[in-house]
Amino acid sequence: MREWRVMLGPLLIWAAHFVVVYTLASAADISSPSMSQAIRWGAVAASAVCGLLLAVVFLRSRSERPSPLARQLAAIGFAVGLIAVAWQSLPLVISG
Amino acid sequence: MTDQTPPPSETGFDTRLYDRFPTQGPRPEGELEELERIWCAPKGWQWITALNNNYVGVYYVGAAMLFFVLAGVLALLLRTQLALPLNGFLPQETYNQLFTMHGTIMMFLFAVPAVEALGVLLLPQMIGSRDLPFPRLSAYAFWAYLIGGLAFFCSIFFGLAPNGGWFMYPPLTNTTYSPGINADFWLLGIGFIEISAIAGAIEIIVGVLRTRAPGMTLDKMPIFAWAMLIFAVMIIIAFPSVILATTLMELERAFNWPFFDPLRGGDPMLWQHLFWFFGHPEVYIIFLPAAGAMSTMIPAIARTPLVGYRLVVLAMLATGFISFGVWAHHMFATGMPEMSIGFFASASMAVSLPAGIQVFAWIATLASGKMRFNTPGLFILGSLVIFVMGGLTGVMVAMVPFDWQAHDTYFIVAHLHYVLIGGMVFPMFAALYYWMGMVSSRPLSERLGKWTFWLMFIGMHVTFLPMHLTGLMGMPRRVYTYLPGRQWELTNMISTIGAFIFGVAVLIWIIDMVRNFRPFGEKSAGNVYGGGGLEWLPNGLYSTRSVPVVTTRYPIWEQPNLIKEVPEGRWLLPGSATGGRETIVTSTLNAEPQYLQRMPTPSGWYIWAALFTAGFFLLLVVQAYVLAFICLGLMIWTMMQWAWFLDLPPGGPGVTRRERDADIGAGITVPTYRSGPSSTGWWATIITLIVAAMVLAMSCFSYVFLWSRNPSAWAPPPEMATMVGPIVLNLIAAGLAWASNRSLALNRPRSPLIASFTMIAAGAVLASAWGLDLTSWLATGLLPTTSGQGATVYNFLAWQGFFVIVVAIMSLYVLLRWLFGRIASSRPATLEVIGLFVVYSAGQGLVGLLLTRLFPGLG
Repeated sequence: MREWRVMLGPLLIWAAHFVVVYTLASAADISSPSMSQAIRWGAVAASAVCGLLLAVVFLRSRSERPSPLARQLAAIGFAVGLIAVAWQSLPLVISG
Repeated sequence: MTDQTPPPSETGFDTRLYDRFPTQGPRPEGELEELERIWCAPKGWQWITALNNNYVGVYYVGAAMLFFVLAGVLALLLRTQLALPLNGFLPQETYNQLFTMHGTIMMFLFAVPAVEALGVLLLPQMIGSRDLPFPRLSAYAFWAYLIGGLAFFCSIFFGLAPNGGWFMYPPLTNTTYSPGINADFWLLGIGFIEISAIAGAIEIIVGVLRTRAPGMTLDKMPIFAWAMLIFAVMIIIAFPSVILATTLMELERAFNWPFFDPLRGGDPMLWQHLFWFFGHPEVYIIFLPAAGAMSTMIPAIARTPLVGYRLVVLAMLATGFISFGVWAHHMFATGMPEMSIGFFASASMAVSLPAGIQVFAWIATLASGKMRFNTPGLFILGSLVIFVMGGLTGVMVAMVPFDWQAHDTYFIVAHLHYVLIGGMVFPMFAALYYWMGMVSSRPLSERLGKWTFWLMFIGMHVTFLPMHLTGLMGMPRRVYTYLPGRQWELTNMISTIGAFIFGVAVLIWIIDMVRNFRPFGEKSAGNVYGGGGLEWLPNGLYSTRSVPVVTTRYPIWEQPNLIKEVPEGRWLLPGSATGGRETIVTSTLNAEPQYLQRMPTPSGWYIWAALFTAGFFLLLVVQAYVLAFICLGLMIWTMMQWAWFLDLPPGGPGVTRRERDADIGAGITVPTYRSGPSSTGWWATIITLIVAAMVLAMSCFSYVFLWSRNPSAWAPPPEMATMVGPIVLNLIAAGLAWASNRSLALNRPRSPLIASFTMIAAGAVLASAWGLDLTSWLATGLLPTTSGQGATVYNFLAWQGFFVIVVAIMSLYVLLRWLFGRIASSRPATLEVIGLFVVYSAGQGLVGLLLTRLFPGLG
């Protein structure tokens, strides 16, 4: 499982981030305007947490001495995940 | 190319034992003959019950291509109708049925089954196993698909074909606007065919992860196997959503449960969410195996290893993940919240990145090697061009303002055909030409192949390039005719001409197949295009004579002695170690040998099971309920017969585990029976339960979604005190299932008796928990027909009720096995998987109970 966790960890965090921001956006849709704004900032904070989590998982995976394939997938996955989380968070700050 | 240092052992297996291979000296006399006798070809009518992937895979690909041709003929009829304005070639209702059937057949009966079929056909040889681990499941999936698919297609001839489009949106498909049984054909037929697809996916996941040749670590796994693994996992995650959607729609149509009726607390948007949560990953489910095939064929065509193997693996994994975050881009025009639209738009643009990585890897491989312009090479190039064009229009429609303009026009039709034909049809044809030498004694004709390619390539562009303009000029989809004078005549006529050019290409391919396709012979045409994978080793119905230790990604190129040594039996499992069919089960990461799985021989049970499964669903559609339930009973009986001979270790219960071990070559011995997490049956059960959990998750989504549409209308749940009984009973059921397995593991004389009856008691307690929950809700006066809330609450109860029935059948099965002395401590696998099922069912009951009672609270 350790090997799979190392390989898929960044992508799983990316997926979890999507679920969180989608759920919060849906909650904002049925909330009052002030609550909606609070939820929006909550989603921004969740995105920051996901970014940090990506970094933690990546650094931890390096100390676990996985196979070369897992190490490389974890590194690329971290980079892709970080860009994806940032990209996916843009609608939170630029949409009306 | 790949790291040659052996990885640390994953299972405790000493990898230095690999140094004993290739073995030297003469092989025992009659070893090969015995292997050939055990894996003999079917004779006469036995071809129906054939199990080998070499047979079932060919049947499967053949059936998928048959549906491709049939749906293509429908497309030609549609294009003929649209060639001229106010054309009277097809009546409106027939047109509606034909366009619905064209889309449905292409997506459900051609695209997914075709790539699954390619997996069944190629994977065992490619990963060096004798066969996939559950060949009867493959055969069942194929026959269920073929029988169900043909019956579904024949509904056209009776005017009963569905007519609501391949996505069957309500309210068009509710009983008010679709009162006949046409929509029911779609709902039950597709739901059933998806079950067949899931069965195939379970087979592929366990096969790829557990039956690879020793030494074939994840880093040396063929890229096609990676693609099929990700594809199958995506099926497991995505398809439950459409199974739930079709079930809800059928419940609404048959029993008036208002899931999608906004006047009674339902919402048609729920259908769209559930459908597209399946529907968009479906595009990548189709694309990924085709991309895997491309990444396998391109190195052979360019005569150089794939550039960026690990990047391509990551790109496929990333595609698999992100494809689940784009479903709502089909719903931009439905008035979704702005922020949600933003998420889905950005995810839809982002998905082009992993696809782009693969495309650049292919271009780099072609550029770094020496490209050959043979038929598969041409189809590969054609695919690249078409898919990139479709991808570009995909980025266009990912932009919300553009999508609002193009939505529901022929621009979308053009876009989706570019993506699907470039991303799946052209790679499929490349694969047919490329791997034909593996299954046929003659390859297909290069001359006819090139004709097929050029006509198909030209026909494709002539059909769909002008369609972008037709759409931008405002022509809507799904209209059976149009008025003259709108500037749509010329582009429509060109599209129709293109469709017929495409049709001629397919006709030439059929002629080529008739002339050259000669399957099931003694010899095959072989490695015509110079591929580097294990599938090109000399093989028979037993796959390869012996199973090599793999040390590279391209064993034929980099371990060239294998071509001589493998047929001589110099590697693992050179004959039959147990006197029957068998395959080596290996570990998931490093493919270290773990045990020898005995494989079944042909019988009729799985064929009858497929027939009765199809019969049950089809008879339900035509409302022949008595016959349908007779079929259901027969289906359960045939499945029990099928399972009856499972879980029988060799030598009977008195034989010790050590005595059951078998020599798989050079003195290496492995067990011939395993249970628990290292066995393939345990893995298959877990994957099946993930399917069930996904249905549960989507049911939870449906419940919360309908509540969010109208929170004030929701009635309070039953009294909190009524929760206690079902919670305690579900926990007891799970505990009893666990205790049953523990008592069997004690290996005392009365262990089988105690274990069997504890498991039966677990089933009874589970049923009691469900009954208590049901009666609590009935006491509130809320009925499934009352409101959307009632419908979703009773949907949880109905789903749990289905599990209670399955557990009851399993309990009967346990009782029968105990009566016949088939429950023993030496064969715990049956009770282990039933225990897993009961524990999951109890957990599922708890989730449904807690959600419906605690959310949104007492109102």
